[in-house]
Amino acid sequence: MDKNRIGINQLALLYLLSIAGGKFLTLPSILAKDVGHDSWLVLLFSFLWDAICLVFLLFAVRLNQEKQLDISAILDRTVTKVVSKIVMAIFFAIFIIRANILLSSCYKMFAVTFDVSTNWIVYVIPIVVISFFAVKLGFNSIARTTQLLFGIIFICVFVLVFSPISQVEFTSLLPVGEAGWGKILATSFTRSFWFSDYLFIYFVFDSIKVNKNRVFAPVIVAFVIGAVLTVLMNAMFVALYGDLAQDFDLAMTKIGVYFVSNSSNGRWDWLTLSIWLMSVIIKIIVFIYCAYKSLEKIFGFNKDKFNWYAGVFIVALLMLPMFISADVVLSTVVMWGLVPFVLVQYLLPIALPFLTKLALRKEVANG
Amino acid sequence: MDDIKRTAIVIAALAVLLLISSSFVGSNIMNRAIIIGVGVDKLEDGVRLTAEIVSPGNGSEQVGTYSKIVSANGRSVGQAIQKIAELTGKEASLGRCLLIILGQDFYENTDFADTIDYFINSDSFKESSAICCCEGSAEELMNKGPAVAQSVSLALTTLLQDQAKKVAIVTNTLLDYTLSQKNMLKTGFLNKVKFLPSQNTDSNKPDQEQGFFTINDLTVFRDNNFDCDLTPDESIGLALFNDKVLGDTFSSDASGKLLTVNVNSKKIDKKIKDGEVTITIKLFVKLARTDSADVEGVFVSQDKKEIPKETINDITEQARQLSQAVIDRQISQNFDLIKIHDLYRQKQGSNKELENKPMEEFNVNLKVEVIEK
Repeated sequence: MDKNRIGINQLALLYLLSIAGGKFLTLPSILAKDVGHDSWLVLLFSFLWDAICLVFLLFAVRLNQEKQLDISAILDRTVTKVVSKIVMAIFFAIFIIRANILLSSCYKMFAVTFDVSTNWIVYVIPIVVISFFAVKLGFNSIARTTQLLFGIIFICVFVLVFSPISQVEFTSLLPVGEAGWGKILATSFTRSFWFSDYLFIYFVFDSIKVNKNRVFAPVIVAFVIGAVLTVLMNAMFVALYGDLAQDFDLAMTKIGVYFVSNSSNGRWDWLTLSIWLMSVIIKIIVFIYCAYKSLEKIFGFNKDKFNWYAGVFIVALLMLPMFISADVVLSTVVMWGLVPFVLVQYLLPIALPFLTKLALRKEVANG
Repeated sequence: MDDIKRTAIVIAALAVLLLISSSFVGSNIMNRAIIIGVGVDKLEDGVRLTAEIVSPGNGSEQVGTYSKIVSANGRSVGQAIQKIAELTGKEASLGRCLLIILGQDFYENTDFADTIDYFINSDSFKESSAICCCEGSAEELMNKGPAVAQSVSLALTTLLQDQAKKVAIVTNTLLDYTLSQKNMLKTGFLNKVKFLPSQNTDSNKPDQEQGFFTINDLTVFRDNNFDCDLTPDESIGLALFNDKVLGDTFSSDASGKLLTVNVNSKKIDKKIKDGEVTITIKLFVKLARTDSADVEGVFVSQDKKEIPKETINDITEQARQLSQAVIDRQISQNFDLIKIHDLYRQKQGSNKELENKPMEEFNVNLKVEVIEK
């Protein structure tokens, strides 16, 4: 059995957790700094671009059902091997930066919320070990873990998002579009790095199991639920905190803390937050998995054997937050790499059905 | 060879586990001073911070004692909290703090923006904590004993966060107050806590002064500086503008009989039309009885009508006068507690001109309706 095999429903659940996993931490304050109370509109537009790309990507998945070519095979056959390797290098950069930013946010959240202090190396190593173990076991292990934990994680997400809703004055979000529609759209572009959670699908492109051609429905439903929850949570955050939203780095911690107003309730936000954090950890594991697979595709490692050089390289890169803060990375590296990142985040999925069709045609022609 | 490999993996895994577990340093709860309320007073050169501390695990001496009050001086609140940690020998933990009290000398003679920033910008501090100011010193207030509770902080928090909403008193959380000092005219209010002594019935603390706390007086602040005190009528009037605060009570003998009615729910509608702000306050009332004074909300079944028309008219006039008093004071003192500026901001966005627009330039039309439900 293919150890990377993933069912379309598993993929949908993982995608849903990925959407909700990372955007409840530092992103809301960054967007509040950019466009104030209109930050929920930035999310709305970003999800709109994501939705368009996702449809194209899923269409490519459907086309690929019979032959099950992997992403590098498609790129190798259509846009040359050199371009294929460049694309994989961009993917690698995206996944490593995203993993580092999420790790930094989680690190701060642990320290602030749970009052646990540790050093970065000891904090990162267990997560990396699990990620490499997932590489060894195959993507199916991540998918099964997601399936197992999905219910409880999602209950916690609902509790965290909906608990303070009665105390939120949504009129604070008026007037809609005050920051200016041009600025909102521009921010949606400059902050695009935080979106396109479907990127991991590229790395299981040849292993997706589809029942009766049902590719679109489960994934689109998962996407819509994830997008609605994220927009709602962001709207609540800026409505609740107003001008202060930009000063609070960890949105979910703040919302959790806000609601536990009375002593008799205790700090039950600790319970929901710690369970929700599992989705962030799963997302980090997916990023590390994909980063490893990008290296595998660039250098052509043996797929059946874990490559320790690649492992050590990834670990070394995950130590960077000890020397560079996430803020600096976001304002420099991510801004410099915006155009290439946008190419693989948005252009590649739109082009993928055509590339897949072309690659399949060549496959048939070559026998 | 396989056995050696397996053993090596197990030993390596144990070593990693040991390293990891010993590196996650949690704080022992026994070594923490859990602060549930803080009071801030002014000193010549800094602040005096008084903290109510719940410190678990003090052994049998703690039986019957809920909390202890500790005070310390510092140039800033942060420094004074550090001093408390020194005094108690425990790490001061503010993640469970429910209440901030500002002493009179402190709030009347200090720009306390830095103190507010210190609390609100801390990630683990609950910005939903209650905040108030007090008559006299916060330290003295925190050393008094509540007559029907064991802890000053818990008694005041319950009053400010729960009970106030049922007895028509407006209150603020730290977040609401902080936002009020940043938006538009930068004006907001805090409840002024006063102590009413009663007979001490606690044999465990025979020397402690015991009594009740009142929170119905309001003090207005502008950009974290003292501005003015509201009169009792203005404080009651302000509650009428808040639909989350219920329990307003009116008495009238207009029908020839002295009747008392309670407000069970409210509907506040604010509109801007032709450059005029129209505020409509709809009060849904019920005749007060010993068994029917509950706050019931909007979704209630219709009951028989018992209140005479004359009483309704009289109460309408009383409510109109009380709410008009707030509007008049807002104009004379130029503060905005009923958020007229915010209403305009929602419509046209924020700009410097609106932010600084004086209250007298707004044309406010007030309508009050009293409906028996």
